[in-house]
Amino acid sequence: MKQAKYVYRSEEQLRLYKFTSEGPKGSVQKIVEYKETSAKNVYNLAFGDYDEITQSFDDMSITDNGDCSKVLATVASTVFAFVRKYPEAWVTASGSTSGRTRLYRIGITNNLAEISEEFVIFGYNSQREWEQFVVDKDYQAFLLTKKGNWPPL
Amino acid sequence: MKAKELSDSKVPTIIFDTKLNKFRDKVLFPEKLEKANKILAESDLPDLYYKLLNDTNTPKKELETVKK
Repeated sequence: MKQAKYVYRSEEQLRLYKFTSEGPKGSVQKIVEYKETSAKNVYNLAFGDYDEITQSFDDMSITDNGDCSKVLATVASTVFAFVRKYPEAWVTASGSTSGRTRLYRIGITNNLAEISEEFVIFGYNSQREWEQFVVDKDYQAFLLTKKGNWPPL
Repeated sequence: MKAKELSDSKVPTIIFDTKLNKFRDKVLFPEKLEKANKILAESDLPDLYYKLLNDTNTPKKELETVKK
């Protein structure tokens, strides 16, 4: 990703990442999680605020720290790190609200050329089907994997 | 903590933080995971993909259809 991004920390399995958003609202800890789903080799990407004092997590808060693009670029960067470690993985993600899912779609669109160099990306459409990602189309969730995993031939 | 340098610009320097190990076995965002599992249960792309991939008798033509 050519966009600015935060330096992040991870545990050694590269399934959890932490970074700090900096802006007018101060320093806000963010955590990115990759969790196994019920489908083989498919991991759910989720992220939100992390309160180190209360040890709580919140994916509904609006930080409004003026660094949305940088935060999304950082989260996207963790995808690259994650698939370096788990090259056969599929990663799915959706926003906690439809507005946030739309924000992810915009983030994907803005970086589509770079993402497409390495990944194939799908959107989960209103017909409840996965289709290859189409710019400007609304989706409920996203799914990506390294190009070598798809198509399977 | 120790830093691990990765060679390209897509992944910045990763600093390993053992403090994060305590969260390994927890689901930090359970609603998101539940939503993902629900979608994966009602959609067939990954399951069908693996089913067909694991079935060595699957004709190439059928796999081609799935990828579309």
